[in-house]
Amino acid sequence: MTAPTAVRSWRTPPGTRWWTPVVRLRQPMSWLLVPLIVVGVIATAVANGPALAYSPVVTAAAIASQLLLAAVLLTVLRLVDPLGRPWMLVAAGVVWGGGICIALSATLNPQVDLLAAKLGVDPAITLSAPLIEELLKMLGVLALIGVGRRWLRHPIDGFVLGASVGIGLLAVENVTYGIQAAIDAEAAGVSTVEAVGQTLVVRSLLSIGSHGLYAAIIGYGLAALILAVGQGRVGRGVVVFAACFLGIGAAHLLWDVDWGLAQGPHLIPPALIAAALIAVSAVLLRRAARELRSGG
Amino acid sequence: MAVTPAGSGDPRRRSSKAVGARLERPGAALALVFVVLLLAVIGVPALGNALVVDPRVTVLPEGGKSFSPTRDGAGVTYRVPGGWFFRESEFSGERQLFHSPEETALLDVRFVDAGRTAAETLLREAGSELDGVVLHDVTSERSDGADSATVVRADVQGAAFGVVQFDGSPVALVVRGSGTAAQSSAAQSPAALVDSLLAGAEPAR
Repeated sequence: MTAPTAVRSWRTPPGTRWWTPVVRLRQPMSWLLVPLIVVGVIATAVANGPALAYSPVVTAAAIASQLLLAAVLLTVLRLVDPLGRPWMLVAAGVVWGGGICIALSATLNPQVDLLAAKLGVDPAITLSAPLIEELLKMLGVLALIGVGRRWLRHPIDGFVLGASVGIGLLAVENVTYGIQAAIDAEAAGVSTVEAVGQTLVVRSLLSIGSHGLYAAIIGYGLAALILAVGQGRVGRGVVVFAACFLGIGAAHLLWDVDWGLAQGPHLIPPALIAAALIAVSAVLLRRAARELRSGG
Repeated sequence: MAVTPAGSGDPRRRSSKAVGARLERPGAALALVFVVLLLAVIGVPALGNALVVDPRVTVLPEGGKSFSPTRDGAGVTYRVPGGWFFRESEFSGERQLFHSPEETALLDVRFVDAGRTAAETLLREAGSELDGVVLHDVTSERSDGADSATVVRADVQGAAFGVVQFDGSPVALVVRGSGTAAQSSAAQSPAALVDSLLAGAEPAR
């Protein structure tokens, strides 16, 4: 079988089952990825069960809004994807982000924060999210590349897979933030509708340039590294990967500074970060499209 | 970067058939890398926490955790009695917040400048939360060079406040307990818990 050409489609290749891009008995990565996805979904559901049951109306509104957001973002991703790939790979990425990433980061982030405190890191600096969440999302991209290696043709493949992971994470995370806003609002005796609405709208708008693009750009770096290793150009791959990971780590670190998102003017710094990431992503996509056109 | 199948090297040197066959083979090496990285992401923070001991925290072989402030080299050692497992959920400055998993009990422990008496320190530090409580309402006790004071505020769902300070130490330990412990009983009420915590405090050695 030859490597697939640029079809710009998310359809399952003809003659194959819909699940085979991810579930293949002979592929060791499938045996790792699939159980982890299942465990992640169950763990996230169980861990957030009490919060989800807090208010069915708030939960339904939060889930509906984030399904809509995810659908919009995936549609945009589909439109800008210059190569195309089976939809199952993208779906697995979304579920990885919304499942195991959420579940493990909830456990590991406090560990990193505690360790950082012990080592004397300023409590105002949150290292956990940039490290743990970005690493977990990157592992999702690595697993997706592992099960679908024939779909790794250009670093932009890592970008698309990373974006799918990030979209899953941000959607589930926004749901939890929305519910928490309702709980906090009730405890404080303020309007639940206003608190939930503001949280979901602000986080949804800003998330366009956050988790999705964080994971996309790191995914780009990871794919570039794997391709470069295959071409014997390890140094170049390491440089590209390091630039992507450290750049995104810095962006995530800045994002997590307590800007006070409830106040309008304080939205400017994260909005600037989001705009910068969108610009970087546009450059990567445009460059990829140009290379794909010239490369045949 | 040119479009090329993963791991194919220079595509001009390989036939597309060979490349395709290689890409269809199971990627055991990548799976191994994935496993190692996943274990590292999970294990390194836990291992780090196990190896790095906070300068203020000493894990005792029995009786849970203790910690002592290092400010001016003076202070107290604080010991959580056995039967409770406390997870540090907030860790900054000289304030530590504990809660036990699967329970709603919450302990807020911090070190403050000691006042003339534990009762005075308690009223000063509990501040607005104890608005209306006067010195007369505070239960004070002196023993073995330690001065402790406790008070329960009934209208905050049994939240209990306690202070212990040692003679000659510029630092006092303030404990706020609230919520309900598992298998809630009088012995595990916030007030009883704060009492037992204060009883477990001893001068730093």
